[in-house]
Amino acid sequence: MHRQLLRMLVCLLAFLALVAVINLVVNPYGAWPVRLVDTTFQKVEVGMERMETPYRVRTEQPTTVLLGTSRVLYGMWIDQGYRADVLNAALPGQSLDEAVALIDLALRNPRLRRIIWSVELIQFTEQMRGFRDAPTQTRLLGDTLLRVRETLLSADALQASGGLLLRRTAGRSSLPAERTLPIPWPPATLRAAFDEIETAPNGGGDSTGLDQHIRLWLKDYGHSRLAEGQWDLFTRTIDRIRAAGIDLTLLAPPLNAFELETIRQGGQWPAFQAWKARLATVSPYWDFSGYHELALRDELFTFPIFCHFKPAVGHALLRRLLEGSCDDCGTTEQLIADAGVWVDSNTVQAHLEDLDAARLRVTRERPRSVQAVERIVDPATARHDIQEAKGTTGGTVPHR
Amino acid sequence: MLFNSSPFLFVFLPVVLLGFAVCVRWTTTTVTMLFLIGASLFFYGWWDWRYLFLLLSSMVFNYLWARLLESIASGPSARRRMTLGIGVAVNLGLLAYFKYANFLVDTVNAVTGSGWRIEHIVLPLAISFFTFEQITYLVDAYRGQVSAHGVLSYAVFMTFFPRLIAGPIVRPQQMLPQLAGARPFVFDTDGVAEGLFIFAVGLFKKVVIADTIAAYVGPVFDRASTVTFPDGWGAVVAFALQVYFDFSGYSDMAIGLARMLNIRLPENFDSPYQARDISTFWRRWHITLSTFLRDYLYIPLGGNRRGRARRAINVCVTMLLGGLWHGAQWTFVAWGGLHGVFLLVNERWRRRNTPLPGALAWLLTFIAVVASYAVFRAPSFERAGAMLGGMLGVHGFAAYAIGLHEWKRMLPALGIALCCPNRRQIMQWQWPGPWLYALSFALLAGWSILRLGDPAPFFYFQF
Repeated sequence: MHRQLLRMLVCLLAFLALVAVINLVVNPYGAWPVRLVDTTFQKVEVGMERMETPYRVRTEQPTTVLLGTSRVLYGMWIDQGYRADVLNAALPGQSLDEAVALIDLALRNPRLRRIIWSVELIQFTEQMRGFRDAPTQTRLLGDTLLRVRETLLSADALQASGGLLLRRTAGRSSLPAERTLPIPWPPATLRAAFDEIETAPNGGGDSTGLDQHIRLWLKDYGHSRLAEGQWDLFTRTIDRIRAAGIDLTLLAPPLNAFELETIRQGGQWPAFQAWKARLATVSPYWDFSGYHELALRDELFTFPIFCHFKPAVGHALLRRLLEGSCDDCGTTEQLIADAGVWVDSNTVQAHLEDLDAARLRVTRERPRSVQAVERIVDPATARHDIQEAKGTTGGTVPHR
Repeated sequence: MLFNSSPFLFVFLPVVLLGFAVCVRWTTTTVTMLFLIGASLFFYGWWDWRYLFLLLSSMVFNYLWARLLESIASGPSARRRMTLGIGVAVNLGLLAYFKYANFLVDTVNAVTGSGWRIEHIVLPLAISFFTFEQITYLVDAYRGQVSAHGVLSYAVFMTFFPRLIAGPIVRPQQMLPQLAGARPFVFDTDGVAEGLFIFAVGLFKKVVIADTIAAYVGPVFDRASTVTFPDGWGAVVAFALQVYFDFSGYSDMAIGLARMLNIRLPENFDSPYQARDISTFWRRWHITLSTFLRDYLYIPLGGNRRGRARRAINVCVTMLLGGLWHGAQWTFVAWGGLHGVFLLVNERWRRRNTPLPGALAWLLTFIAVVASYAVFRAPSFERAGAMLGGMLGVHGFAAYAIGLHEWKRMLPALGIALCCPNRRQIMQWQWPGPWLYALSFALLAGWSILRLGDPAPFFYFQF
């Protein structure tokens, strides 16, 4: 009667082996160096990035790696995670420690030429120290057992394999056009995307969702306390990238006026400026965050989640960073290119003064963003520069 | 250690099975018993080893007290009754301290306006289950219904890991005779195969069905104040499915594990949602608790032997205490009370001798059971009231949280609960061939393994 037990165990092992083999061959998450199914048909599902990216950064051999938070992940969206030699290794809420771990893995790739790294004030604060969650840390540090469980012996992986095989069977012609575009998108695609945005602006989203996000960002910025250790980690990493001969492009990403207002009315504008000043002492960078035309064009952001810019903006920005010139740019692309300022330790003071001047100019006009945040910010904790925005303090620049 | 966790499935269980086989084949019954006791204590201590002392102290006390009860079996009945009363009181006192002390103080404060404070007491895992088993042990010893056994048999009975944490609640006479004899343990591959199949069914119920549906419940109960008609009903149906597949899944796993070790545990569920009246529902739902409450509370209170009024009181007291057993919360008591009322209404209707059509009887029973979960699941009366209000349409009829996508996942589960044979019936099938049986096992176990992520605790662990 051992036979029945044996039959059951054999069937179980065969079933699990079959699933593992399917997932390995189809490789839906790009977690294994297997290329039997065209990777063009791969698709990173929203919410799966923290699982897939730490594996993909090990197996792909990109020449360019993008790093940053969800702004970069969704703003410079690449459906397959990796396409046309560019790997989007940004993660939702990516901490500095996570970015550093990803960089360490990316530097093992002999084909790597360039890292485009979007950094943010909040990543240098106490609350963003370390890894955001234990599984991501385990994946980044390398755990074969977890990789097997998540990418081979997993029902989700099997479902993803099925989806990938279906797309492969349907063929390239059934893929949406943007899934095969070069990275960054070419000018004609960008122009068409911006035209579409102009004709169907999203109108700023519903007020409940907007208020929720304002509260969220007020809380996040309000509790931020810069951590000295993060600066050390950052500086050491920059040195390591340079030592490896990799071209590093650092940037402060575009922020919508609503977010800038949560910083300003939350009393963190001086800290934001000080952070930018210190950043310039470590490395020159592109600064896209300020009260410029781009920040005020709500239709270019995914309201009510105003922290995310739309993929067309992200790819226009990528073109600015990768190709420099903007000869064949359309109007909106030109506007995005103009929003970026190259900042180094020599020019940073003048740049910060320009940013302050722009801030005063815009806030005195009291656009929608100023009023919306004022309505929510707690008067007891609101800082003096709210008064400044109302024009009662004569516009002195605080803390500089 | 959870039955649905990788350490249990891939380390603990194989090691225990292997150890058991070795002990049975090459050692004595005493060594096998010591091995099972050790494995069970390790299993319990994995959660928090400090509470092992509580479990062991409770065991020592109850074993000695049962011997005392047996030694005075021929003595005056008043003395015997008092001895039993003390033993039961000690057990209930332990339960009251760990499970109900905070609840009692909070209630007294709420009623009298006093400000008594006690430190928050952590509820030891499984205390409700093992306390009830200790009580059955003492009562059965008092009644002379416990067969002769040694201290090791008693220790195996009390600590047996498959059912230690959340039942089924086993009576001494259901398990101790299985541990008696010269060679009570056999490593039977037939039994292991059958046990594995039963375990796989339970694992599938828990990991694939209950854990998927559980995600729909919390968000709706958290926003009870604005819940709409379809979301409210969707959430209570989802909860009904979650709690059934979670707990019956756990019970199946426990029964399957025990079967692998050649021990037969009593059934705990028998397609309860297919019941056509509420008393049948209680004969099919958490059967070992229902029978415990019947035999050790309802019948000693007088049962139905002292007239209708007294019977009604006995039913309500039993159900209220049954509700309180679930947790130190007034909503559980209210849920128990609600079911007490359902039982009385059902009894009254039955006496009229005008049976309802089967489908209508089933629908009414199902609606009553499901609606009462609004009280059971809600953390407060306020939230329960809001939920019930939403289920009456107070906040409109639009579906926000539970729509087509969620129902697509819930309907197959509902179909299984309402229309399919249960696990016990499936095990009695004449399978057309051994390979089909093996394949069915592979699909159930394999798919469950593929769904193992971060293991979610079983719902009844909190009780």
